[in-house]
Amino acid sequence: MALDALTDANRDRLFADLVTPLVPAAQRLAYGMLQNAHDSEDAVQEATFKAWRAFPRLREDANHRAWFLTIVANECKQRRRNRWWSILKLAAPDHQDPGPQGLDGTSIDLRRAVTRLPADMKLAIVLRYYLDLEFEDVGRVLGVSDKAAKARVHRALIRLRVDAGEMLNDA
Amino acid sequence: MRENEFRDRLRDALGEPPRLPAPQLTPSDAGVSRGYPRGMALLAVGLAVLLVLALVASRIALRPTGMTQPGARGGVAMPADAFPCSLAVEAISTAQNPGQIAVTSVSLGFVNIPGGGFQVDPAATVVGLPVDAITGQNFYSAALKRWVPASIQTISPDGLSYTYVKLLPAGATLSNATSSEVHVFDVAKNADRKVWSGASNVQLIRWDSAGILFAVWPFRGGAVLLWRIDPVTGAISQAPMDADPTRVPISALPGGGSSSYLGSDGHGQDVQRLGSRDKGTKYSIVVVASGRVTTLYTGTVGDSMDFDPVAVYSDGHGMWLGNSGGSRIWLWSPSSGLRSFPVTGLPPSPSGYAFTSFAFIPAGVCVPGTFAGVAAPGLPPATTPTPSPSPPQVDWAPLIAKPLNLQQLSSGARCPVSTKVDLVVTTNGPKKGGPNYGFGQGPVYISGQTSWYAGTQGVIFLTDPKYTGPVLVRGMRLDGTGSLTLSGEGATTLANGAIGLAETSSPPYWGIWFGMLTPSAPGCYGIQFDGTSFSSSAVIGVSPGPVPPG
Repeated sequence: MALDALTDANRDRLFADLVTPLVPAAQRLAYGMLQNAHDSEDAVQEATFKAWRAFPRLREDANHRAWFLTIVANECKQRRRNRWWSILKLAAPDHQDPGPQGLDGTSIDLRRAVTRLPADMKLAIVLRYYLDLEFEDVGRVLGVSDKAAKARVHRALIRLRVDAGEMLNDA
Repeated sequence: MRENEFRDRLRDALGEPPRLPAPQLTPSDAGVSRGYPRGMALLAVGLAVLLVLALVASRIALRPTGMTQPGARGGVAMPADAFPCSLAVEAISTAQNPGQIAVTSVSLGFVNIPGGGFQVDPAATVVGLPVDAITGQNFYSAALKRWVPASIQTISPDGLSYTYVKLLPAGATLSNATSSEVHVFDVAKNADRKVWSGASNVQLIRWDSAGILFAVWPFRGGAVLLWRIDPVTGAISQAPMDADPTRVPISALPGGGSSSYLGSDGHGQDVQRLGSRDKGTKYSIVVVASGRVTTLYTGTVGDSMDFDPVAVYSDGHGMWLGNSGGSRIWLWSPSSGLRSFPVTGLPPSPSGYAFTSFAFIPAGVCVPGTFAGVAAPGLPPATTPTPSPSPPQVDWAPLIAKPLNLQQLSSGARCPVSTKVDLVVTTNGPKKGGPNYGFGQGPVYISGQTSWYAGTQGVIFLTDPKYTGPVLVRGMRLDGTGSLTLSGEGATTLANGAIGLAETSSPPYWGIWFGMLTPSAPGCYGIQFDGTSFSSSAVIGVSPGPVPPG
């Protein structure tokens, strides 16, 4: 049965069944990207509504997790880009959580280095090492092949090595 | 460094996400047509007005010219189809074994077009030139006839200069820098000039005819601001938000579909993939420039075209695109459309690795003529990395042969949930610690959660350093029908849902394995750990799902 042929009520129930198990991963992805609880909550909420709107056009045999995480990732990137705008107009305070307490120097270096990564490199690192996705799934979310996903993760690691070199080269 | 060690460090650095409320799944759940979080709806009208004003202002300021083919950086102007030419590329060889971070090698050279032969440039060096504190990329300037430590984004439009970031005080890293400077280095004149400084993080985004675009935010995290510098006058102005190259016009995404940013050509043209990678799905590769979208290719995932771009650069020939896997270079121009050039001369695959790949990153113009360099070197065999590139081979049969001691509970019996044990876990990670609790009899403990739910959740197995051998893990439901699935990197999947952990502790450090645990239904579950010198178990109670967030 095509998704767009469902009644609204059935479609909502199907959507809820499909998305609910994906919410923890979505929230983890958002937090890894944005490093701010409120921003993460908003990003997942906004992405969920976007997914709901796009749901009737989703192919039945599509990879639902990759589809939803891609929407969340795009929402996070959009928020990261637009952050300065909302800051200026709403005079909001600092938008990044201070980070885990008691971090040592290498962790602070790594956190900052990850923060400085371009959005797509950061997304690749977060998907691979913060969400533990296989490269095939990383590629699905990035919209690239698993080989290209590996290449992107590795380029991000190269950049991290430059930025936080000692701690990543010490082994 | 092993992947799990890096993962451990990354999780330490980023922290675990706090518990977040579950989102409203549909507008009907919210009871209104649109459930904006935390009162954003009240601000929407005002922001919309501001947004429109900003867009109008930025359009006027930027004077979009539509989809044009830019001239080559480095002063080389040539007609399309002026072959042969040699395309400057960064060639990246990657090799990896499971559980390890990849070994990577970067070569600078040229791909001869149209023949496709790749040759390394033996004269390529950037020694003596100031290097950016972050990027580590290289670019071939045809104007200078040399490689420079810049990227497509940080080379000047004329190819004679590049911009880079310097952290202060001298020798500072991100953890102790007190300020950043943006510099412009004129290679031809060997002249360095500071064009901006501030007590903030800086990320260079691109240098184009409008100036140098960069992002700034506080060292301790905070608001990101986009700025643009006129490199001639030093004048600085705030940049519009649509200057961000990863932005896709909403008009390009009918129906709210997914998009992926594939790269920027350094001339204001950005390549995006629209559509998912699900087999059979229609997708498009498009170029976005000044808000206009031009489709390079529309196809179906899995078709024979094998068009899978990973990086882009434009010159007088058109737009060059690297391809996933490194097997070909693509060229697109408005007049000739999309063409591909199979690449030969790839470096030999190193031995001893489970995975090898090769990718080209366009790094400059396609210079007229054929380039004669040297053959690409291969990576060394897999014996070089330390620690050993592959996990120890374990004969699991003796452990599998051990009896499963988990017993089904009689009807109505209470679930004998294991008591939490306080542990002092020392690891080789940056915090020298791990979870301070576990469940079980040891020397292997289940940890990572104090409450368990039907569905998939993270799990940690901690191994006391007094045991260093392999561990077999088996699980089952004790009070009914149901399954317990375990999965994760570094685990060997065995028959009947068991997994094997070949590498556990490394004295004096504890072994920490991160994975996923999925009980199929609420109930009482037993997990048995078998090592060469012990058998132990843990019992957990599983509540109805879904697994709460966080």
